[in-house]
Amino acid sequence: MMNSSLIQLNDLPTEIVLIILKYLSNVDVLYSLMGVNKRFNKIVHNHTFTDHLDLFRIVPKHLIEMISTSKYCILPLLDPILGRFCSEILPEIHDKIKFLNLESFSMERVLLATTYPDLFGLGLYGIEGETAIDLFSDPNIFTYSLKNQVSSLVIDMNINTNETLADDIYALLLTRIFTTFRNLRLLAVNPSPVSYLYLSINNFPSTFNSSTLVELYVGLSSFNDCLLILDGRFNQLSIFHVKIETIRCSSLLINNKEKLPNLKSFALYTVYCTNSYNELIVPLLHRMTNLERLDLSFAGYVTKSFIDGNNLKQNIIYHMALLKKLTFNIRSFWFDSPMNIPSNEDIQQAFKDFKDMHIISCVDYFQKRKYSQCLVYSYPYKLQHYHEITNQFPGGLFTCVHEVILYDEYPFEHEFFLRIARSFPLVEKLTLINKKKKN
Amino acid sequence: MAGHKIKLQSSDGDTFDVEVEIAKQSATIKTMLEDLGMDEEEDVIPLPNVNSAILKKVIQWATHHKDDPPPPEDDENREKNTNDISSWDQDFLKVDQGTLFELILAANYLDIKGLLDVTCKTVANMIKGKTPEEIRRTFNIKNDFTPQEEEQIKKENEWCEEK
Repeated sequence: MMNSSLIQLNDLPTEIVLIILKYLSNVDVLYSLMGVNKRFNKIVHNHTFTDHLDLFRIVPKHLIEMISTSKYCILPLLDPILGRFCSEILPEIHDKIKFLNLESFSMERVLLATTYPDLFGLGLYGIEGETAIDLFSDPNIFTYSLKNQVSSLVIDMNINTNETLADDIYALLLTRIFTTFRNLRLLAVNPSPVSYLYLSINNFPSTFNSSTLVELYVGLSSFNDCLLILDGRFNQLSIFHVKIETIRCSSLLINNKEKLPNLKSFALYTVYCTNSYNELIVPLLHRMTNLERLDLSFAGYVTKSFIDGNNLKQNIIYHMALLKKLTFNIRSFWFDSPMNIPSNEDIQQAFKDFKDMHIISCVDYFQKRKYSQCLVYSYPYKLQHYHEITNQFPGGLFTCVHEVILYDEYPFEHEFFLRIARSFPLVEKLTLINKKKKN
Repeated sequence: MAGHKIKLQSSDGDTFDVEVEIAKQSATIKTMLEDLGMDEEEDVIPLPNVNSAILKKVIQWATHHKDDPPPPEDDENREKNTNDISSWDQDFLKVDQGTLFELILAANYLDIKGLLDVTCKTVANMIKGKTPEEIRRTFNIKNDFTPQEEEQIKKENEWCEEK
C-alpha cells in the first residue's frame, strides 16, 4: 500500500501546470480556472489562453440526428458555460482577445457581451447566408471600429440546397463582406477539406473586389470562376488556395494571359477529373511568374504522356524561377495500349532531379477498362482520400486519409489487406471493387 | 542486449533491477547510460527526485508499455483529445491525487513522454467542465481573493459590458 503524498495541484510548478493545460482548450481553461485563486488567475490570463477562443462545441455527427456534409456538427457552448463567458470571462479579458471563432446561435450574444479592442480575426461557423448578411449590417454588433479592425475572416456557411436562391445569397454576402470589412487581408470561405461549397461568381456584382485582400481560400464551381478571381479585382492577392469543382474548356472568353506578379503561393485542388491540363492549368500557372509555393492536386486525362517529373519540369518548374516549395498529388489517366506505357521505374527516373523531395509513383494498366493510370505524389500524402489503390500500392503511412477505394483486375491477397490496414490507421470508409477470387 | 539489467536507486535509498530497454523509455536515463557509458550490472543510477513508491509505479508503467511504438513528436496543432486513455492506464491511474501529481513530476524529471502524456490528460479530464468552486473543492485550493478584490473585478466587468 502506497503512502499518500501531500502534494496538490496548487503545489505543482507553473511549468507542469502549463503542460497539463496544453491538453485543454482555451475555453475549458478559462471557464474552470479563472477566479480559482490569484495564482491560477495569473496563469490563465497569459496570452496563450486568451488570444484565440473557439466559443463552440464540436460534436461527432453520429451522436446527434442532423444532416450535415461534415463528420462533425458545431453546436453552441452549454448555456451555463456561455453565460459565464458573456457575463464574466469575456469582459475580463476583452482587451487581450485577438481571434474569436463563433457559431451561429451564440455569435450575437458574444459580440454584444463586451468590446474587443484588439480583435483582428473572426471565424463564423455553421452560419446561414441571410443571418450573416443581417449580422454584418447591424451597427450595434459590427461597430465602425470593429469593421476596420477585422483583417481576417473565416466564414463557414451552411450549404443552401436551393441553388438559385443560394447563388444570390452567396453573391450578396461575399460582396457585403468586402464593403463591411474595409481592411480585410484574409478571407476563407468554407475552408474545411470536407466542404462542398463551390461558388459560381460569374454573376457577382462588380463590387465584389478588394484592394486589401492578401489571402483567399475558397471553393469555386468552374475554372472560369478562378479566372474571374484573378482578373485584377483582388490586385494585392499573394496567397490563393482554391478548390475547383470542374475544370473544362468553355466558350466564355476570359483572359488567362495577364501576369500575376503579386501571387506568391497557389494551391489548386480539383474535384472531378479534367481534360484541360495543357489548355487551362498550364497557361494559368505560366501567369504566376513570382510564385514561391505551389501545391497541385488533380486528376487529368492525358493523350501523349503521363504527367510525370519531366512534364512538371517542362510545363511548370522551368517557368517559375522563384519557386521554393512544390507539393503535388497528380493522377493521370491514359487510354492507350500497354506497349506505350512507361514503367514505374521510368516515372521514378523522371523525378531524379527533384532533390530533397520524397516522391511516390505508381503505374497501373487495366486491361479490361483499356486504360492506364499513373499516380505521382510528394510524400507525405495530404489528401483525405486515396482512390483506386491496386496491388502495386507502394505502402507508407497515410494519417490524413479517411476514405480509401481498393480496385484491381487482379485478385487481392491477404498480405495486401494487412498492408492497407497498416498504412491507413484512421480510415473510416473503405470500398472494395474486385471480382477476382484470391489465390 | 535483451534482458540486460541496470539498477535504479530511489531518493530513499531503495534499488530496483530494471531491464535496460524498459529503463530507456526514460530519456533522462537513456542519456545517462549513453553519456556515462554505464553498462555494468553493478552500476547504480541514482534518481534523487523520485521516491521508492513512485519509482515502483513508474517501473510498472514502463514494463507494461515496453513494446509501445515511440510516441509522436509534439504538435501544437494536434487535436486536444483527452478521451484516448487506454483502460489499462485508466486503472493504473486510479490513485490518490498526491500520487498522480508525484507521477507527473517523476515522468517530467525522467522525461518519459508517454507517462507524462497520460497523467497530464488524466488531470486535464478532472479539470474539464468544472466551475471554479468545484475546482477548489476537487483540488483543495483556497480562494485567496479578498471580498474587496472580487467586488473590484465584478465592477470592472460591468464597466466593460456597459461600454
